[in-house]
Amino acid sequence: MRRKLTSFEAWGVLVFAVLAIVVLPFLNLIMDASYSVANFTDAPGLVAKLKAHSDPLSDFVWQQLSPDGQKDLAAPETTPERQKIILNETFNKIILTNLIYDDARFAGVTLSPETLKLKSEHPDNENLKWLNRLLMDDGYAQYLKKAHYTSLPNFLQVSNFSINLYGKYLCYAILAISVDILWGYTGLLSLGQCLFFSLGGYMIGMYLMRMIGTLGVYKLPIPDFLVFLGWHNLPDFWKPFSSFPFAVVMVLMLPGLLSLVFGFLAFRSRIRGVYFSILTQALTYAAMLLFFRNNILMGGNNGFTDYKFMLGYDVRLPSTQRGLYICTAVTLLLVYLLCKWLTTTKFGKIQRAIRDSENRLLFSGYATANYKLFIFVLSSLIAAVAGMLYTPQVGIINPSEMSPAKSIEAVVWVAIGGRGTLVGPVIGAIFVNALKSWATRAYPDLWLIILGLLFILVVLFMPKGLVGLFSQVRDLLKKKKIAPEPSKSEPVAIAKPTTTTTLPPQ
Amino acid sequence: MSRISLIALLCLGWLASPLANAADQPDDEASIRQRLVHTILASGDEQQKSLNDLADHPSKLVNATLLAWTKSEIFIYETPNDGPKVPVTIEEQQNADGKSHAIRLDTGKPLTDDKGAPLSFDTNDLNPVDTEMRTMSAIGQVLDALALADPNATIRSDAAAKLGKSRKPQYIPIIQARLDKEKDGKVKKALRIALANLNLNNPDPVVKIKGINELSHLSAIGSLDDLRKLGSDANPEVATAAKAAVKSIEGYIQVVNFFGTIFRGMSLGSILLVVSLGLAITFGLMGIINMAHGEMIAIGAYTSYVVENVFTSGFTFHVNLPFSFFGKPMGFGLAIPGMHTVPGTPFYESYFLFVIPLAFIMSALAGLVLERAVIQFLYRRPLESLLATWGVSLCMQQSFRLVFGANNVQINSPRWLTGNFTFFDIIFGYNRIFVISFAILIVIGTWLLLTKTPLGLLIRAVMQNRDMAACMGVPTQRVNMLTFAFGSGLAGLAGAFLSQIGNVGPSMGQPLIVDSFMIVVVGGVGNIVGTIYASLGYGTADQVLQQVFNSPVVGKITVLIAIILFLQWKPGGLFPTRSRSLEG
Repeated sequence: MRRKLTSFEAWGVLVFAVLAIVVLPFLNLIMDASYSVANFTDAPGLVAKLKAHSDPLSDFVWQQLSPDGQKDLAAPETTPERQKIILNETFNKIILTNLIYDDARFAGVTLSPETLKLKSEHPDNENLKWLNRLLMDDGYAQYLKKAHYTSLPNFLQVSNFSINLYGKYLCYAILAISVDILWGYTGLLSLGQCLFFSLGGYMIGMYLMRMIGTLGVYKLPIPDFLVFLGWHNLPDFWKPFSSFPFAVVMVLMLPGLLSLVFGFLAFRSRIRGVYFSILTQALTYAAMLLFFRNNILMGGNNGFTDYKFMLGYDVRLPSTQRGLYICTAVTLLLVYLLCKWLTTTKFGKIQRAIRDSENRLLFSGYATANYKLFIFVLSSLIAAVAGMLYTPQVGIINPSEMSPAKSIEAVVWVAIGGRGTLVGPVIGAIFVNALKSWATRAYPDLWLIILGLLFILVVLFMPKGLVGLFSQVRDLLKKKKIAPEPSKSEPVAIAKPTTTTTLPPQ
Repeated sequence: MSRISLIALLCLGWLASPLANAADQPDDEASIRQRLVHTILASGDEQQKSLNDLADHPSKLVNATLLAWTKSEIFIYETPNDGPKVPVTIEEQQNADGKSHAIRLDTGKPLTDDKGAPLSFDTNDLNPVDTEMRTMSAIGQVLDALALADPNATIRSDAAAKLGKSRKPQYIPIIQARLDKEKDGKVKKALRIALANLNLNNPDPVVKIKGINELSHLSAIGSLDDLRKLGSDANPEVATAAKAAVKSIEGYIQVVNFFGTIFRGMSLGSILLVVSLGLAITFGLMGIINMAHGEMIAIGAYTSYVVENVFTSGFTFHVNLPFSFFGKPMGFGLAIPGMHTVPGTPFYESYFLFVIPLAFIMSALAGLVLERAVIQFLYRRPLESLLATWGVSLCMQQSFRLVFGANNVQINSPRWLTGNFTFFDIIFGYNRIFVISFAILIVIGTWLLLTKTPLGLLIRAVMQNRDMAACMGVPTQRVNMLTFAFGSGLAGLAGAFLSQIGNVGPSMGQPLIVDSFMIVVVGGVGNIVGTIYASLGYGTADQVLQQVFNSPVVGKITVLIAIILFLQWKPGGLFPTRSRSLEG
């Protein structure tokens, strides 16, 4: 049974990986109508034409420039690189508006056959952006590298919003795996994984806040919320966060140290089962209360937001979001492979032994506290990495991500997907979050009731989750098939089949 | 003594007696009226002097007239042909033309013309008396001084305090005179504080020091600011006396705060106690983590809301479901007509007595349904009971939002639960006292239930060894049902109390749940005595640390960390259940 599942599982993982890492970003790429800096092959020429704004199209474009942009483009000493950045920003803004076509505006412009064909279809949404893009390309053909439109059926269209959403789902999937290796494999239900998730997000958030530089609301080199609180200089502990490697190290160190200390204290005194869960819940609740305060200088109840740059890339551009999505998908694959490998080692066996009967293992001579501590720290690191990838994609991190309710939601994903497997949490996370995205639009008042009912039903009737649904249904059918038929001959007393009482699962 | 000096003494006595008897001797009405008329018609300094003299003649008439003056209800009638000016008031009763009679102030009788027929006026026909700022403030002071003789003790104390802060030394004799006659202890203290406050402004340092020491002796918290300012006075003796007084009063405040904190901690602890008792019973006796316990609390609180509404204007709600059944929109609702009782009447005030059993019953029913529908399948799986009840909690919270709205709802407390009594400046709120006493009753009731009743015996048996109890013929299913219902009912009671003390909203149970889980864990699971100690200790520690750190959040965090460390030392809690099982 397990072997069959493994090869099935392996194929599933492969298909998923290809889909997620290659196919979806590619579809998004060809769907993406936005400009990138490399499209502007002749920036000075284009700028000259715009400055002259003698034709109606250039006049229109010049109006769309921000006051700073107009100033910069008008000045002769602006570098071509800076010109390209301004043009990129402005042109992207233009194509995102409504249809820019106007007979008067495009009077002197010859439209390509591609453009005319698309115009005749009267597109909307993503295709409208494409129409605008093609129109702009036709308008400035000699200064730009043209893009080509590929028409895709609706279900293959992956918009920028979608790719961003999928990136969020995959981060949640990584978080769900971290919950599962603790709960499904080791039997420790931690209701505080979102704490480590959020701490990872906060650490990278500090780096992202530093990268805003002077582009914030107050135009000062320190983050806006600090200015609002009355600070003039950067506090000392913020200073090292301008370096990306340091931020990554902190993403791993802070949650790791916290889980190390807490786990050591907890496992040393043999706190198990329900007490452990309650303690983790209390820990995350206390941390949430702490982070809501303004005087620890971590953003207070607004948290960190308004990110602009990361490693030199503009976080708000669709291309960067695509890149982050690919990173998340690759990380998910790596985490999955790591955990899969771990379960095949002797360590994995000990893990499952701890879940099944810790006392027996203790009597066999294993110091289970150390094993539990290791897996606890490992899962907190995985959750922290998930948080690190989550923050730039969602654009905000705040203390409500640490609430006990969110941690229990993560447990809900694992339970619905199927705990004790590695595919289950991924499926559960994606399924539940997709359901949430749909239900909060269709039935917003009822979403929590739907979630609650789903949860109760899964816990009561589907203990193996969605992944085990297939085998559960099959077992049910098998039981029905071999049910004994009533005897039609003389009424001999038939002995009732004895039911063996099974030991309760722990 | 010579005869002349005797006469002179008599005259002096006669002159001095009005001053000594100023507060109490009733003058006859005619002379008061004359004084009033004289005051109104005078102007400038003469008027001021006359006003101040009025302070020596307290009477209802003077009070009423001066109040009417401030409201521009006294008018001057100028008798035609350059006749005398007559101050009058206008009657409220209007005749057919909308005009009213005028009452003369000097006689109290209606104003008549030459022939003796009463004249009628519209308010616009007459000029009101001049009311400039100086006059108004003088009238205010006179009214304050008169308030010192008011029959109501609270008004007297307030008037004394106000006069004390006025920095006007001319009030000293009045206050002193009142002090000699005063019989009420609280008012006496207020008068002494007022005297001392006025003495603080005296230029003579000896008098100042006397005032300072008096304030220190009486622990006058209201004078703290003035004393602090005097701490930097030029005169070194005054400064040291003032500093010592400030220290003594601050020490007094600390003691007051301490006891106040202990009291608030006990009241918080008693609410947590009722909540945790229900949780300890369900958790300890059945191994079920009930994350929906907070919603049972909310049921109790919302029951209080519904009952209060039924007693006044009725309760209705309607929920529209977002899908339709064959084109017809679906929804459900309920309308309970109100009894329209008025707050203040005994029937309305008794509504809370109906709430208490009703809240218990509603939550117990909800617990019963929950147990039969969900929990009975999860008895040996504690982690899953946690998750399933969390799902129930989500559903219930959302249903509260749909039925009652997402905002907090307002509940008016009955009169006998509002207000407080102060004992040495420590405030004891009546609602908190009620909660504490009721919590004690509940604990005693639970203890009696568990130890003296047959059901209690069965519950304890099932808690110790479920399978063995089943073998002995204990109907474990029914015992579970009843125990769970009882635990939920306790939560409902806690909710009913919380409705009088705090906010009532859909997610009011959530913060309490984390706290009560901690308490149950600290007290030792399934142990009633442990729960009592833990909840009272937690409540008090929470309040004390709030005061120490000056911030509720840091206090809470410290308590949580302290509990985590405490569990290192005693993982089973304060009173761990002793059993031979490995898992215990």
